[in-house]
Amino acid sequence: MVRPIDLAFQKLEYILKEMSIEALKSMDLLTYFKRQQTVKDLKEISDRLRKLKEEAGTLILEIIVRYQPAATDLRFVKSSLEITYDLYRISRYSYDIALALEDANLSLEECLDEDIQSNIERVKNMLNLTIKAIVKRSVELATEIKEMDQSIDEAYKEYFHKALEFKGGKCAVANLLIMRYLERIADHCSYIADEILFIIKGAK
Amino acid sequence: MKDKLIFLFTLICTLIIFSPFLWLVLDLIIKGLNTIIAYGIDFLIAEPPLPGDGLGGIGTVLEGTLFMVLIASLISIPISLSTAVYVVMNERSKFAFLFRFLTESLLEFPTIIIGISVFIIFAKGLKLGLNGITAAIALSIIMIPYTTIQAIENMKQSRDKYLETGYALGLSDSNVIKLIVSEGREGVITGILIGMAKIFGETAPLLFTTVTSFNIFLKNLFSPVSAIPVLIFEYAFSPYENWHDVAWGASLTLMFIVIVLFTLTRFLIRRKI
Amino acid sequence: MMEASNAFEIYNLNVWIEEKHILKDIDNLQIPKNKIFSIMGPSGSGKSTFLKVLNRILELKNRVKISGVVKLNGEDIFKMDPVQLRRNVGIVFQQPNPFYHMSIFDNIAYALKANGFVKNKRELEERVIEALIKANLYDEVKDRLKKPASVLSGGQQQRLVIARALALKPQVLLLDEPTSQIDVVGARKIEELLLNLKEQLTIVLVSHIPQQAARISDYAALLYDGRLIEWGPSERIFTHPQNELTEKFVAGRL
Repeated sequence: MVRPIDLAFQKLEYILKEMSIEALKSMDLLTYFKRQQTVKDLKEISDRLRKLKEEAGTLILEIIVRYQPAATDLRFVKSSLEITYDLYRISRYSYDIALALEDANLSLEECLDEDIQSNIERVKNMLNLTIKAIVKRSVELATEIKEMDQSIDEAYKEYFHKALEFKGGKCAVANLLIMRYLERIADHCSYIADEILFIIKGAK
Repeated sequence: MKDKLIFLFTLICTLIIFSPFLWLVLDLIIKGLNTIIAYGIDFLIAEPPLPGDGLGGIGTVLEGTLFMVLIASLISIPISLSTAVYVVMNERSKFAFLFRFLTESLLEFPTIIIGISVFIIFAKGLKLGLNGITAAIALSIIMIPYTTIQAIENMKQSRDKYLETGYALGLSDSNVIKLIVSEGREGVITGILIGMAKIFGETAPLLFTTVTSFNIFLKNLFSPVSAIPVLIFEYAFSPYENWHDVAWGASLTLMFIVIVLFTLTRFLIRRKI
Repeated sequence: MMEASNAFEIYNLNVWIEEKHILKDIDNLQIPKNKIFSIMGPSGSGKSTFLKVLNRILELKNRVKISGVVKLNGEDIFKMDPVQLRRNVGIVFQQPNPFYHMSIFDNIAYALKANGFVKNKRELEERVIEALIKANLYDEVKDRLKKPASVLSGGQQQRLVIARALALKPQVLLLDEPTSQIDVVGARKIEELLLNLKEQLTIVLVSHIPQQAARISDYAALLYDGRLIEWGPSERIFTHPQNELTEKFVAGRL
């Protein structure tokens, strides 16, 4: 049985999916960093995500006023609003990373140590899982994401303390900044995981 | 054009079907009015004439009819009301079913048999004799099913509406019954009027329970009486021209009473809706 | 302490009508005082039956069997005098049913007089007006108290019926889908009225519209096929119910 609200949910899910793909793309672009071109591309992506987030917000208002959702429906609506914001923030941090590199006139290859590189991969992997979790509404994936977030947090802390000891120049500053942004991206993945758990289980 | 033709056709058909009835009513009005106008308004209070002795009134039988209908109503109304209350408040009980079944079969009972039975049981058996009370008993037996069934139907409606409400307002059993009866009162009154109209014109049972001397006014409750329908019956078949005229006047009077009663019931029913 | 805060407590309630099992093992349900408690459920789930158990109106029907315990203020209602119980627990039905042949005034005065609740005419007038004010109807009818109740609109008639119940000063007011036959504006007025009334009494509301229950009730319960599926604070029932049936019902999937 298709309820009227289900048709509106299809639209909302479509927006979420599109935003997920764009957010993933923003991290991919970092891996193939091409200076100004990448900065420009990332700016475009994050702008697009902001527009999509607003579109989702309008749609959600409409859903609330027209269908007065309750229970799972209500939680999905509330969480979708949060998730669109998280996805937008993720793309924004990707852009910030690119901007930092470009401003410092650095290329990734120049400075990136293995630590940073592996962390980029870990966060990308985490975002991948997050998007799967959104689509599948999976408790297991969401829990896994939250565990991953903890390890990223620790990695960041570790790197931070290491950087304090380090007397190196540009690279050290840029890497710390990148690490910091990665940590924020992971945080937003973890927020999304929280929302997924809220949709499924109700009370946190 | 076609529509008009069809309309005209149905109108003519209707007129053909109703023409005997219309003719009857017109004939009755003309002949009845003739008598009443010729004798004057005293027709309603004067004694009937002797055979061949000019016109007279129907005062004695009108009095008899009114007396019998009054007594019959006094007997029927309490019985009907209490039966109806019992049936409505205890719809599932075996007694309620039995009461309802009895009243409904009484409705279909040939009235002449009711006349004979009352004659045998009350006039002969209980030695009440032929008088207004005996006749009223017969009439009340005819009236009861009409009033009872009408009262049951109307009180059922108000019961379904107000039984739970009444109890929910903390009313006692008797107050709930009062509420239901008073909310259904127009229907109950309608039933009483229909019953009265029915017995006003009733002839068959009266043939056994009244006398055919039409010239006596009531002296006391148990004096012999007669009734308009019986006078009509007797006078119409008599060989005397003047009696025929009185019978026409009596018929018109009776029809007038019944029409007034029916109009009243129509009015009450419409108000209810 | 628990007894002071609950109007009704229901344990192990089972109801059969004509041998048919209508309410099944309704257990451990507490209806708190001065709150609006909604009973939700699809038609035929036993909502109205449940409501009519609470003031023993159901027993007026023949062939009803009830087992279990229902306590009002800690006292077993099945051991009380039903007339006294009903004066304490008023009920309003779906279809507004004022006494159409009585005036607006008499509609309210009737039960007060019949129950011997007033000593004189003056007290009667005071009680009638008080009830009309409580039911938020007085301003609309004060100039036509002698007119028959049938001149009122559906929504006004329903508020008149509420006033009629309130005149007896009950502790609990039961309402069986009171707005389902009323237009939107009239329904909204009744909802506002109920919100005001809960300061004075406990309200148990049967509603088949989850949105209405969500709007005005503090607690909500779901009955399904005569069983109590779930009950709790509305905030929980409407945002994260614990039972799948409740979830489906409030989301309109049932």
